[in-house]
Amino acid sequence: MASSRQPPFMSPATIAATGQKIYDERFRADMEAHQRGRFVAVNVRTEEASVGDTPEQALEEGRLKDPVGLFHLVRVGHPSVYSGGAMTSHAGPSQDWIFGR
Amino acid sequence: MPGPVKIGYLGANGHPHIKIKVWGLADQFAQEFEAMIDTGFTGFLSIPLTAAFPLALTLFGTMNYELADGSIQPKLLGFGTITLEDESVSGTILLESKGTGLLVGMEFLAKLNRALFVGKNTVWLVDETAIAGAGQTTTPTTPSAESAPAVGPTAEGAKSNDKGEETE
Repeated sequence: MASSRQPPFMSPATIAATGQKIYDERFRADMEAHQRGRFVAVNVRTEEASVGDTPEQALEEGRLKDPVGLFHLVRVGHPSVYSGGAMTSHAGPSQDWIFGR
Repeated sequence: MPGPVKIGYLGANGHPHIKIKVWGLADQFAQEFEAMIDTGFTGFLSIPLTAAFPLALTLFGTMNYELADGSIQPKLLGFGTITLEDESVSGTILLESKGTGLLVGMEFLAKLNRALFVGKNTVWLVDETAIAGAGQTTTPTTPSAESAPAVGPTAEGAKSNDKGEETE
């Protein structure tokens, strides 16, 4: 029998989409009013948010609350946490076999 | 104490590279890589997923990543440590599912407190505290083309002590 601590099995694309949806619906308005520029780790298992001044702080705070949590990291007020220049291969057309792009 | 100057090199593609070790849960998992310094990348480290498997990185989940064309892609997010010579810094690591090389970005330089200088054949990563004093003696707010070489590692770096104070 599966333990109640067992996290759900989610694909990376599902973690990202679920986390972003939770953030948009439950936290975005308040965070953008009061926490702009900070980082939020949204736990897709518990739908809790942990805030920090750095990505590491937010994620560590989230892990303290839920050691088996799966997190989607958000930078408040920004569409992404990081960005890349033209040198990053991420911009290439090759198939991404995890996210299917 | 970490040395004030660390040396890299220009790769075959003409971009600055350094040799780093990367590891996750414990340094027994460390492996050495050649990583490109990409100043257009705002993150700490991007590493191909297949290269990350043996390193025991901690997997946290995902984050959104903005490409050069402005589009947004989700990426897997881990946590680990980079060792450059005798100095180690930890941070969030972007796990790239496409088979590409390692990139260290601006967050890596900031955490290491290093300024990047690129020459014709050599790359220097200079302790920012060692050049802070030199920066104060040159002008002002915007560094000019003339002032840039003056704060290079072989010039002013050798004249500063550990606190960034000029010794001459």
